Amino acid sequence: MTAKKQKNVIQRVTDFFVSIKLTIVLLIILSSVCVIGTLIPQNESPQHYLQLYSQSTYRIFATLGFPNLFASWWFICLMTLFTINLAACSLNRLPRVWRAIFHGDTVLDDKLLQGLTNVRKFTLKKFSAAQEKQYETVIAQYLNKPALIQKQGGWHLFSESGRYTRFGFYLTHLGLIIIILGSMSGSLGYQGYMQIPEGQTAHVMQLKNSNEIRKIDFAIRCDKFEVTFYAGSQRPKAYKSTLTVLENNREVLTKTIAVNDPLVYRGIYFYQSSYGAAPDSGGKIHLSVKQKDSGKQQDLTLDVGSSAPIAGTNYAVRADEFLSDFSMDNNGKPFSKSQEFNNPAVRVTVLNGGKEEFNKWIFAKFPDFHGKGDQPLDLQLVNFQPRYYTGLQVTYDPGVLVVWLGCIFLIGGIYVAFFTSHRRIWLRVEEKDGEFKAVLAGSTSKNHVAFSREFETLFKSLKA
Amino acid sequence: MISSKLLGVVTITYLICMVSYCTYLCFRNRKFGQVITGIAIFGLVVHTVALGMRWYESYQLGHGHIPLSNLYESLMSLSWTTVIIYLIVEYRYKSKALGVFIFPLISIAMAYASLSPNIQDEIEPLVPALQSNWLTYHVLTCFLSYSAFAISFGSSITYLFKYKKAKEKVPAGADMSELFPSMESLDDIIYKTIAIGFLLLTIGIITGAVWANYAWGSYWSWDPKETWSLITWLMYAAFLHARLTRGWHGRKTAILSIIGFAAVLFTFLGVNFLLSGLHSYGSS
Ligand code: HEM
Repeated sequence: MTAKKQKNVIQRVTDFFVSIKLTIVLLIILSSVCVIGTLIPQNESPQHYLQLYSQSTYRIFATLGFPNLFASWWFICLMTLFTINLAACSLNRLPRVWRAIFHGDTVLDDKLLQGLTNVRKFTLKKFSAAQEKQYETVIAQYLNKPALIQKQGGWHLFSESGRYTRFGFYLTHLGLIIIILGSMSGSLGYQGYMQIPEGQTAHVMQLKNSNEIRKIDFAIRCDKFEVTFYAGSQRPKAYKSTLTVLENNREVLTKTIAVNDPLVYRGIYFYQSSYGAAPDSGGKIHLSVKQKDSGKQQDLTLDVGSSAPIAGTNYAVRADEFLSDFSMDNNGKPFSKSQEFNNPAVRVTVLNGGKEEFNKWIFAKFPDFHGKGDQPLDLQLVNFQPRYYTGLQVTYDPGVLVVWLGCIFLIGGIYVAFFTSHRRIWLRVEEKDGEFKAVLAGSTSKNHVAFSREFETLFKSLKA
Repeated sequence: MISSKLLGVVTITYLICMVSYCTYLCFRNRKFGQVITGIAIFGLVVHTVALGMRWYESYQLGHGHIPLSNLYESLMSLSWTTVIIYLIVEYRYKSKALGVFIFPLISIAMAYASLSPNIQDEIEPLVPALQSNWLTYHVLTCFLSYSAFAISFGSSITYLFKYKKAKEKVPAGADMSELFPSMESLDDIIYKTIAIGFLLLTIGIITGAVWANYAWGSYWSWDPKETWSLITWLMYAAFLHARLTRGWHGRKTAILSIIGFAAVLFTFLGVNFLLSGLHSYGSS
C-alpha cells in the first residue's frame, strides 16, 4: 500500500497507459461500439430515426452522438486512447526486444541451457580440426555460417537466422498506428457533392452531412455525359462524364471519368457517383402531332427552347419548358416535384405564321388531358430524352496516402510476425576427463513443432 | 445454364463425400480413404470447371464478370476455396477426419444456394461500381480467409470433442477419436489456419478499402459489412495475442476460434440478411 502511494503521478500515468488491461478493456468497448454502430442506422435524417424510435429514445441517441457514432467526440477519444496505449505497450517492450536482437546470447552457458527445450548431449572420443570443419559446414547448411568463439575453456559455435523478424510485431503495431493517424488527419479534408448539367461549369459543392456550400479554387466543366444500359433493361451498364478543369477560364486538363476511375486534380478527387435528368435545362422532346381537320399525323423531335414547323400548314410548335415530375405550387405555378419521371410534362406554344396562338401543358401520362378548348392540333408527348447532369463525389483527404503506407506496414508486419521466425543453434564442446562433452541446443521464436523436427535432423547429420 | 447443372453435380459429389468421410471413420480402411479423397478431388475439378464456365457464360451474356456477384455465386465460390484449403490441410497433416466437419458445411451451403427459393441462380449484370478488378482481389482474399477460418472452426470442434473424451478417460480404441489428428496437431492446425486466415482477411479488408476509395471516394465508411469484418478481425487478433503473449493454447484458444467463426458467419451472411448497407447485394 505504501509503495503504491509513493509512486509519483508521472509513474502512475505511465502505468495506466502501458497496461495490457487497458488494451483489453478498450478493445471490448470498441467492439461493442462497432456493434451498436451496425444496429443503429448511421447518418440518417431525424425523420428516419423518429420512424424507428420514440421521441425520447431519439433524444438520448442524439445527445450521445449515436446517429453519427464513428465521428462522435467520444469515439475519437477512445481511438486516441487506444493509439496511445498501443504505442506505449510497444515502446515498453522495446528495450527487452532490443536486447534479444542485438545482445543475444552467443555462448551456451548452463544458465541459458536450462531455459532451452531442444537440447542434445553427446560425447566424443576425440575432437580434431576436421571434425570442427564438419560441424561448421553442417550448421552453415541449416542456418547461416556459424561464429566460432573460444571461451571458458570451451569451444562454441553459434548460428542464427531471422533475428530481425522479432521486430515483426512492431511493424504491425506501427502500421496500425499510422492507419489511425492517417484516418484522423482525413478530418482536415472534406467530402462533397456536385451536380453539373452537361455543357455547364461548376466550382461549388455541397458538403456531405451539412448544408454548407464550399468553393473550389478552379472550375469543372462537364463536356459530355453518357450512360449505357444492359440490353433490354433499365440497369445501367456504365456511365461516363468527360470533364475539363478550368483555371481562370483556361483549360488545363480533360479526362473522361467513369465509376472506378476518378479525375484527380491538385489532390482533389472527382468520382463519378450518380447521374440524372437535369430538370429544367432542356433535352430532346418527341411529340406526336395530329391535325384535327385533315387527320394527318406526324412525329416531331425538337430541343427544349426551339421550334419546328408542321408540314403542310402555317403552324409551328415550340417546346418551352419540360418538367419531369409536374406539380403546382400554392400560387398555381408549375414546378418539378422531383427529378424522377413521375409525371413528365412539357409546355408547348403553337405558333401560327410566327405569331403565338396559344400555349399549354401536355402530359405523357395523361394524353387525353386537353386543358382549354378547341384547338386545331392534337399534341401528345411521346418521349423525352433529358439532358443529363453528372453527379460527382468530391473528396479531398490528405490522409489517404498515410493510410496506405500503414496498410503496407500492417500486411508486411503480419507476414513477418507469423510466417518467419528467429532460429538459433548453439554447439558447445568441452574437454573433461580425457573425453569431449558436446551439447547441441536450439531455439526458435515461433513454429516450435517444425523446428523440433529440423533440430533432430540437424543432430543426426552432425553425428553422421 | 450448364454451369448451374454442373454445380448441382458438384453438390451431390460433396454430399457423397460427406457420407463417405463419416463411413471412413467407422471402417478406417486405407484404400477406401484414398478413394474418398479421389472423389473430393473429382468434385473440386468439376467445381473449378463449373465456375470457369459460369464466368465464360457471363461473357456470352455480355456482362463479363467473375462469379462473385450475388449470394448464389458467393456461396459456390466460398465452397470452392474451402475445399481447396481443406485438401491442403488433409495432405499436410495426413488426416481425413476433419472432412467429417468440413463436407457437411460445404454441402449445406451449396445445397442451400441451389435449392432455396430466396436465392437466384441467374447470372446478373453488375452495377458499374462492381465492375473492377478489385472485386476479384477483394472477394477472393476474403473468401480464402473465411475458408481458413472454417477449417480452424472444424479443428476446434474436433479438439473440444477429443478433449472431452480425454477427460472422461475413454479407453483407447473404444471410440473413433484416435482417428482424428492428435490434440497437438489439432492445436497446431487451429493456430496455423487462423494465422493464414488473419493475413488473408487483413489483405481482404485492405483491398476492399482501396477499391471503395476508387469507386466511392472513401476508403472506409463504417457500413455494417465493413464494421463487422473489423469486429471479426479484432476477435482473431485477440486469439493470436492470447496465444502469443499469454501462452494460451488448447481448449481456451479452441473456444476463441469458435467465437471468431461465429463472427465470420455473421459478417458473411448475417449482415446481408439482417442489416443493410452498400454490400447488401441480396436486397436490390
Ligand atoms: C488490434 C490491435 C492490436 C492491439 C491493440 C495490440 C496490442 C498489443 C499489445 C498491447 C501487446 C503487448 C503485450 C504485452 O506487453 O504482453 C502486443 C503484443 C504483440 N502483438 Fe499486438 N496488437 C494489435 C494488433 C496486432 C496484430 C494485428 C498483430 C499481428 C501480427 C500483433 C502482434 C503482436 C505480437 C506478435 C505481440 C507479442 C510480442 C511479444 O510477445 O514479444 N498485434 N500487442
